[in-house]
Amino acid sequence: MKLPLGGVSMKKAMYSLLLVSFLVFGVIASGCISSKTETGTTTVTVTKSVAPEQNVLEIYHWWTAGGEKQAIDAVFKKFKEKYPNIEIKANPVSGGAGVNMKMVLQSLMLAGKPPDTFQVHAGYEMSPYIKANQLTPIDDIWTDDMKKHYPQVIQQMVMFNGHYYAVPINVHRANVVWYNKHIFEKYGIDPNSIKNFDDLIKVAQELKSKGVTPFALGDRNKWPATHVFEVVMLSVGGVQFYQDFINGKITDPDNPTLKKVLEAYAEYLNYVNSDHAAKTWDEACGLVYKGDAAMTIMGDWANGYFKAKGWKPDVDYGAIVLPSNVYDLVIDTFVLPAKAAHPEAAKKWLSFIGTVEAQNTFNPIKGSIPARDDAPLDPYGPIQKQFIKDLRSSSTKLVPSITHGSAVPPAFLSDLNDIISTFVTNKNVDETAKSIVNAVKQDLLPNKIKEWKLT
Amino acid sequence: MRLKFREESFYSLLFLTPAIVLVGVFIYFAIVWNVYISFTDWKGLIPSYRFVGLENYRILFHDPVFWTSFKNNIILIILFVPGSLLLGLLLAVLLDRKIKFENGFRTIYALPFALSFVVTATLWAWMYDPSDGVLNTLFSILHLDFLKSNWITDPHVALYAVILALIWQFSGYTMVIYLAGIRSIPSEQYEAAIIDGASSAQLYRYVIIPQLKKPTLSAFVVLMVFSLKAFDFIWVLTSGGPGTSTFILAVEMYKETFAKTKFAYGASIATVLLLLSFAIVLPYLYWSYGGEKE
Repeated sequence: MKLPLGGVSMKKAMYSLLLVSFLVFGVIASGCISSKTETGTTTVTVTKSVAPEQNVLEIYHWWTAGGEKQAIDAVFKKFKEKYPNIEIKANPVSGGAGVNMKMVLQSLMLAGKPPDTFQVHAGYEMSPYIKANQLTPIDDIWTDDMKKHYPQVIQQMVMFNGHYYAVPINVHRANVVWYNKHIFEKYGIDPNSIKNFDDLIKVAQELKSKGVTPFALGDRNKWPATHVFEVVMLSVGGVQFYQDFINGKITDPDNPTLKKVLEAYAEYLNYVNSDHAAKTWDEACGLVYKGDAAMTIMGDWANGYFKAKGWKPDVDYGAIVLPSNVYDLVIDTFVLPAKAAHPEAAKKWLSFIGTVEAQNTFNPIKGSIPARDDAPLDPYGPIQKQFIKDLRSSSTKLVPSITHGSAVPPAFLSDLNDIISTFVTNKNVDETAKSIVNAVKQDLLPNKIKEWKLT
Repeated sequence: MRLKFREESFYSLLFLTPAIVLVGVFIYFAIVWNVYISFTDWKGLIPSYRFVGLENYRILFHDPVFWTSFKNNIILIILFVPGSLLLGLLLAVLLDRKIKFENGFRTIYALPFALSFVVTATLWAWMYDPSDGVLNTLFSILHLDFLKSNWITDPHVALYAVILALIWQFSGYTMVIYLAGIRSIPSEQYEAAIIDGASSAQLYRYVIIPQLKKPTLSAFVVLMVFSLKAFDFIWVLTSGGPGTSTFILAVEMYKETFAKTKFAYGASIATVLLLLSFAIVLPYLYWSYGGEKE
């Protein structure tokens, strides 16, 4: 009997087989061991590369689309000019709002091999990492100059237990109604007449009676429906109610303000495109662009969408802020993981993005605005200029966004997205209020690690 | 030549070792680990192994979203599995009629299965768009307006729309399996039946289809297992929505584990999925191996 080894001698075959199984074992074993050997033995280093060089900066971010990629690349270029010895290793993970990157990061964190810094929305989105002690406080990065020039609520959004954990690079605005100027002109609607939610509904009624779809919504990915809910809550419930809501104080399903907000949202839904559940947020913007709908409630990244389509602000489209005295903040920040391999390079990066120079390089291209209040206005378009002035005005109330991960724990946000997505199809106010209150008790309060002070 | 039987089995064992080790670590150990996690209170990014018994299961069985997902999963199995089998059989029977361009048709039918679920889900999102999607536009042109639907945007229809798209994608696979099964039947049997004067309907009814038990069984298990772990297609097409109307267990497991970082709770959903697949696979093993002995 002979094994079908094609002429190779038995002995040789045995050796190679042993070697192969050994290697397979080795790979598995090293995968298991090396993640646990922060202080461990030296023998494992065989499978690891040489000692990490200090002059590397490994960054994870999710800016992969057209304009945003150019924006972050421009910042990288400026950083390189300043620190020519630091090599930037950028790992962009596509997927809007970092939906895919969160999963990648969680596995990296659990394996104990985080990048040197990564992008994360300010506020609760970073709370799972903070609770697991996987981020380092960066109080030394926050100089007095930064403390002086960042608005107070924005600082609150990156602070946990009295420590700073992140540096914001930009500010987006969530509470904006974008409208097609041609449609408004055709039907003689004055955008300045829209001061509150009731005005908005009045305009919607008028447009609907003339056969125009008033609002475009695209909630196939669910969050755009929550986004509108958030804006309706701010407009109808007010900032005080919003603060109570995100602090988990709304625990009564019969809370009259909660019901009022849901009823207002149900009313709003009478004026949206019927196929909203099949569309995405950008397709909804597309309806406004094509003239199939007059308005859409979306964050100011819609501005980038319209510009990319060749539209001119204040000529083809405009923005109405609702409620006008509120700035609903969506903020991108960078953090310092506790087990970063190159913390010194990361700290240089964090200090750098806290400067006017970095923020005014990034934001004009990205379409957002600088978080610092001393950045010059020149490089910005008319809508951005207005937003910058609003952000710096003392009469504007700043609030962290719910939908974009800042104001509430991720577990509660996940519930809320499903609840609102159901509400959008059945408009059942009582059921929804009950579900929301249950979710507050189940997933907000147990995960609450900070108290918001907005008013 | 001097090798004895025992040595031979030693070699086969040796050659199998790498595979056994890999499967053992990455599948069976992972399964045991998962069941163990489901009895702990692990929440958040720091692993916690405090034993809490059946607490996660108690919460799970009181969670209405779990029951919605469970119900949807059962509906998915009941409609998707026979649907794919029947459509695949029909395609195989049609292709078996010695038609022209058989290879071309076979490729066309089998192609969807070769595509990634992310691609096909994106495609179906476009097919199902109620206002300017392919289906509704087509029905308008053909004056078949009664067939128009809101598809994935209507919570009462969405699940069935998802199942229809999945049947489309998997029927190519079952077609290939059935066609191979039909072709493996010895031609003497056809000839004998035809000489005996069997019509082609009778040929299928009495000669061919009864011999397709094996391919049916193997396709059945693949489809069953898929319907338990179907995730990517649904996630891309509807994200489980509108609301929770197209949630299935895998979608809920993903949400609980990764969006809410409730690792132990997610593990308990995974364990329920594991038990469900046992309930399906064990009878199959019994049937296929037990049946052979007779």
